[in-house]
Amino acid sequence: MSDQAQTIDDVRDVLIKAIASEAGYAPAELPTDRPFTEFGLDSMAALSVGMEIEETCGLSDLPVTLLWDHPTVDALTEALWALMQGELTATAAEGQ
Amino acid sequence: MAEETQSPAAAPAVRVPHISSQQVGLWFIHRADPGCAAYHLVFSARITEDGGLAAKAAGVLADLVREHEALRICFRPGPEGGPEQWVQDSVPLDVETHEARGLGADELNARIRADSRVPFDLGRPPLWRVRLYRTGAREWVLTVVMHHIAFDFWSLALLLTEARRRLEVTPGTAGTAGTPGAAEIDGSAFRAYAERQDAFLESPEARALLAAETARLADAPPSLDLHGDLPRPPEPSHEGGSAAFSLSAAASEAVRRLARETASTPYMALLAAYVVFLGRLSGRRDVLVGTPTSGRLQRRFRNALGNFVNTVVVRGEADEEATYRQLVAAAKERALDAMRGQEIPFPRLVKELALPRDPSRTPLYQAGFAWDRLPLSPELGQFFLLEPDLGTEVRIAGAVLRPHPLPQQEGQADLWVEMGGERDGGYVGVLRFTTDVFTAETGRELAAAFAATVETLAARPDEPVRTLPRGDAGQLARLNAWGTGPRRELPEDTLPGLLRAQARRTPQATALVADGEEWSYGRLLGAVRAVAGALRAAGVRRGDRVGVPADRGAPLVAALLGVLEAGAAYVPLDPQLPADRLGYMAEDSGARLLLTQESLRSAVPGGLPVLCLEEVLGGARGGAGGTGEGAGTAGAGEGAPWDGEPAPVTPADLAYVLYTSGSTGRPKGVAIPHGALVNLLLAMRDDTGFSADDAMLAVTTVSFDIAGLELYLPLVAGGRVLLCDSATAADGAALAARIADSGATWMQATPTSWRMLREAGWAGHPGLNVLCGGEELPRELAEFLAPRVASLRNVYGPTETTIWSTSGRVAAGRGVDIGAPIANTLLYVLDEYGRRVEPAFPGELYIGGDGLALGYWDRPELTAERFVTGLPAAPEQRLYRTGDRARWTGDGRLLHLGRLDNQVKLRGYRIELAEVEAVLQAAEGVSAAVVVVREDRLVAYVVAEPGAEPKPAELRALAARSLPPYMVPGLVVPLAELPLTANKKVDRKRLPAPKDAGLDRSAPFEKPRDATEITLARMWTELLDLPEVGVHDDFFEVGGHSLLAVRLAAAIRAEWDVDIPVATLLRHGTIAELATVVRQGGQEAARGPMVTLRRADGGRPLFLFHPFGGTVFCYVELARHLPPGRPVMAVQAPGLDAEGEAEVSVEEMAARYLGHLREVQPEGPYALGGWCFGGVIAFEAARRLREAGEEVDLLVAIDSRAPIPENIPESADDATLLSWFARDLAVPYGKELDIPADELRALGGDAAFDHILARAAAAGVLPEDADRAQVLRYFEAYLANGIALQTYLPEPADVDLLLLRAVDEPADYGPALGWDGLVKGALRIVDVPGDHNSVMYPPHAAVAAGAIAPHLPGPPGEARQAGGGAGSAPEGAGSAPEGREEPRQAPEAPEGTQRDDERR
Repeated sequence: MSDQAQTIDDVRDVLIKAIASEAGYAPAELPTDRPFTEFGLDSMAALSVGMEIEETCGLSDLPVTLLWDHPTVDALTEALWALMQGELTATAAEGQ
Repeated sequence: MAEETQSPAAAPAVRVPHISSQQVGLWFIHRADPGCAAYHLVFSARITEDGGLAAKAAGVLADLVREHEALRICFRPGPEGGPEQWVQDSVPLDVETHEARGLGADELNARIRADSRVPFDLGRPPLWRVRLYRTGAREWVLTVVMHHIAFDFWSLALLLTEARRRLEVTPGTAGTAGTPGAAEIDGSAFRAYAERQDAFLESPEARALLAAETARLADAPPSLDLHGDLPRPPEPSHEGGSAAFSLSAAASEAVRRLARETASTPYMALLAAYVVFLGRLSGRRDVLVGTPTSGRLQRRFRNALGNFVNTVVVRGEADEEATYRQLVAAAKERALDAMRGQEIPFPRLVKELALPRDPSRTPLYQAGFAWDRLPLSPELGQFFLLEPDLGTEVRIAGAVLRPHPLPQQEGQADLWVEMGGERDGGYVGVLRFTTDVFTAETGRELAAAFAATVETLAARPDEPVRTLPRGDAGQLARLNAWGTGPRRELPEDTLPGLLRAQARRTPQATALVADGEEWSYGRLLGAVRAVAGALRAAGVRRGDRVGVPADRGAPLVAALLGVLEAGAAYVPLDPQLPADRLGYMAEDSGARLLLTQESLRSAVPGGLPVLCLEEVLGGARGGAGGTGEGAGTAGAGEGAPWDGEPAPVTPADLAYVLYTSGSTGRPKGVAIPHGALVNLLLAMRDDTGFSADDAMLAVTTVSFDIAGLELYLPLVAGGRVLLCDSATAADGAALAARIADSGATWMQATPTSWRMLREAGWAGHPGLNVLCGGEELPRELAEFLAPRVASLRNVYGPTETTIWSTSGRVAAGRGVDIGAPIANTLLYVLDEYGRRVEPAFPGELYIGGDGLALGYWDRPELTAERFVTGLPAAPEQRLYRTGDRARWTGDGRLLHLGRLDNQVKLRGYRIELAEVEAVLQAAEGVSAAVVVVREDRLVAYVVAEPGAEPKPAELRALAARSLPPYMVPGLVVPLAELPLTANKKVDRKRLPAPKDAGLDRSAPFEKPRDATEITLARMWTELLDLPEVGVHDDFFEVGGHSLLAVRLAAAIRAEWDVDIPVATLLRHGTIAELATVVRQGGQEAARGPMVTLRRADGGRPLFLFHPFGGTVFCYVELARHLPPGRPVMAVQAPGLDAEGEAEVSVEEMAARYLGHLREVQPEGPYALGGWCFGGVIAFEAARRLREAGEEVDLLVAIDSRAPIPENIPESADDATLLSWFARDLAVPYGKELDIPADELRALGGDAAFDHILARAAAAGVLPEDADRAQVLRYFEAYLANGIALQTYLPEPADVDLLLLRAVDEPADYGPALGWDGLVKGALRIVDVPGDHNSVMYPPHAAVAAGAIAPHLPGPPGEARQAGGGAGSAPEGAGSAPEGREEPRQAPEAPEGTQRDDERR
């Protein structure tokens, strides 16, 4: 579920957990600066991770090539965080 | 176990407001082919259990169906023709159990497979079913079949998982057993998916995506165009086959590693290899691959039941110069490009791209690549593999499930590769192929080739792909076996040596029959020796060339062999060829001497010593009596005047130099050594079994190298050569008689010659063995010949590899291949990098072995180019590059795919002209067909069978039924005969230009250039049912007629709100012209009643007056067929374009029309005419002109009834006229619309008129939305004309009348239709075919035009009279025959053809 009090570290933790689970790594051992493809992730895994993101970060309709455009945990974290801020801003704007 | 059957009783149902585009697409496929099973998803397993599972499972399924509406959906046609999605409240389970204990394994599998392919009725849920086959006491086979329109594999996996979970819930917890799954799988989200898609497609984001997708794919090649084993049917049958393949663990690991290193996925790496594979298979670089995406991008669809799959199209580039690593990186980018557009449903993309219609193939992509990984446990994943790990066991609720592989989803496209599964550490996959064009063997070869491609690329990812070998070891071994002819030891001998040996064995036996004279072997050898002696005496030495211009006859054979005996090489110089060409050959070959006949002395090239055969042979005969019959008895010509040792000729010495047309315009000589000739003769002796009892009827000119087989094969076998003179050989009937009389057991000829025999009524000859070669053997000719002769062999080979290189028996019904290599011959099918292509792949045919020529005479560069060594496939071999495209089928048959230079590309499509020709040749009434490209357009030339008159339009229609639109010839030109080369092959370069054949288009083909033209072109193609039209095509030339013009006008009005009078279509008949009118808002100056049907400079027009109804469309056909040189103008009724202008008396009409007519032509003499009522107006106009003192030199009435009281119908009231009007509406369509006047009278007024409109629409002669006002104006003009006719009763007039009478008209108005009382001058009556209406439409209109032509002299100064015989269209009669008669003598003819040198 969406939690608007999330920090960027929360997002990173969510990603690490999701990707490590798909890739068969222990979360602590997952290199966050390496491309997902190095862990053998394929489009099916990407789909799962995407769904996880949708659920935990409160984002929907993510770009279909999100994981390809931001292919490491570090890069994806930044991108998601930016998206979430945009989402918040948009929600606030609608609220007015 | 009891069988449960479903009840079809309809339960209450609710409509789901949305439906996804993918579902709509599948629904249309199913509607077009309700028997299609290509979209059945199947799960199958062998089950061992102790009992009770089935009942329990049924309970679980019943729960699931109750809970999830996705399992109860069906599809019904909606009001607008598309499908609607409905959910039924309750749906009975479709579960059946079958007793299968008596069935063997194969029987059982066949049964299960057949059951899995039983089609669904999409309107009747459930669209899934379960079957259980009992195979033992505790053994079952289970299948679950679901239709893809409602489910995808993901759904199937979800269901299996859920069912398994529920089955494993213990009975004790049954209280919650009904619901625990509810949260797990979602049976309603499919609604949200469709709704979301509809909303999305309206969004700016979707529009932007669609625009990007269109831009990405707009210029993609229109189809992959794979070469098949079978001709592609016009519509797919959706039948296919499957071939499993697997990759080694090493290659799989290499793929995974490469994917990691390039930051891509194994899917992308394998896709890159697939693109290479497809590039090789199609010969294209730009390759489209369809690839499915799960479509479950949102969390809420993750566990949803339904069909969410969407296919995206990857545009790959098969670049052989790149390394595999580079290709993987590129494939990643291309795949991501495609994925970005994955939310655009595929059918929507297809619609947006507006691709040309080609129902024979899937739109956009013909090859797919799927990477399937399902949300399943890995053990269950095995159950979806075609070759699973058979040790797999899954335990469910006490039962054991094992995989039971079953092929499925076959026939969706030409090719599909599905991967994603693994076995023993290696990737496994299945290649599915359409059986419409591929055999099962070819399917297996394709699968093996793909696997080998991946293995090779993955092993060497950093080398350019073009440097890596193709295929696997098994394939290489097969190619070697198929391509290697029998090994045969050759004697160290030459043809003269073999002849000497034969003459020694059978000196008395007949060797040669020519001109009614028999030559024994002894006599022949004597003559050969005499020639050789004379040549030696004349100074000819070993290795010299001797030109032999000689007519066919025994002396010619002696001359050729004599040259060889003398150790020299002959150069055949066919006296029929132009002198310039012969002179060139003599000079180029450096001939030392010409050996000829007295009669030809003056015709042979000058500047060389000449030896006359008469002197040589006559002298020998008259001399010591050594070469006559006596020589035979004297023992092999031992007494011949031979002044020395036989020349020490070896197999490597030159035997002959044969000239073939060269692409540079000058013939090139092919230098053939003795060894090659001996090899051919002995190989063919082995192959044919030609024996001493056989006789060969030799019909081929010696300037065609294949004549060598006819003249020499019998001599090395001790048989007889029956020499046929060229006059007989060129005359089908005479040749047929010769075959019957001569006792021939063999004959060799080109397909053209066999066709000539067939046309002459030859019924075959059961004792005749046939060799057919020199051109592609069309299947229909093979089907004709095979059952009518003792044996039929298709032989193939270029001159450069000595007469023939392959030979194969042709059996009826099996298709035509070119056979197997003859002895000591090697065949290779290579790609452009010189690698062997895998079986089933196209490539260029190369030939090696003992048949190879020494090269081209005195052309080292050309020789080096065509005779090559050091190719990767066979570095040691010297190979001749044939320029022919060929392909081994999976079962080892070599198919000839035409000349590489005979394959054309037209508007992006690759077209094999031979394929189009084959279709036309198979048409009834067509004897031969040749297709060429002219001015960016396919033009077919056809020759009719005797007595047949196939119509161009019908041939085009027939071609359109079996060929994709881009392969349908735009123009079909009938020819009396095809131009032939001297070797009796079709000479494509001498085919007349269409305009010379009288059928030219007014302008070259041009595509629409702006939105207006594009829209107009679309309207035309829809109205005329044409694949395409050019902007300069005339509406009426491409099949339009008056009522289609009305519909076109209505369509234009609907589109642009521009009112275009239909008459404008006659004046502006092309899209380009019409577009201008549309752009100007329909304003068009000078809308007079005069319509120019045909322009011509200088001449006086023929004026044709409108018939009943006032339109003049009826004259379009007639005008087209009238002789050129005179303009043709028509006068239409002014009331058509505006209301209230209809004239009501013939006198007033004529007066008014004459005013317009005199503006065009102020003074006489005049030529007037008309059909039906138009003839009456013409009569009145002529009468008035005569009264005014003008001359009328032609008045023609076409089946017009004279305006006399007897001809007035008794009750010609409005209703009667309306009834006629209806009838006439249907005429141009060849339909009948009989609405009794009584019926209309009863309705009365507007109701009667509306009734007519409705009936005409129902009959398809008026559009549903016909412009009522326009049709009403038509009828008012019709009515006005009817009244005018009834009140017109003229006095006899001082005019001549030409009356064309439609002889098939049943209504009887007397022999002169009543005119005899009205015409004071000459009344000429000509009977023409057709009834009153059809006389003006094809085919009769041409005859009518032919009947008028003699009375319509051309303008002054034009001497040519184009009239000609009635019944044939006179067009083209002027220039085409001139073009046909002269070609041989034309000095520029030598540029000849590139096809002449290499025979296929």
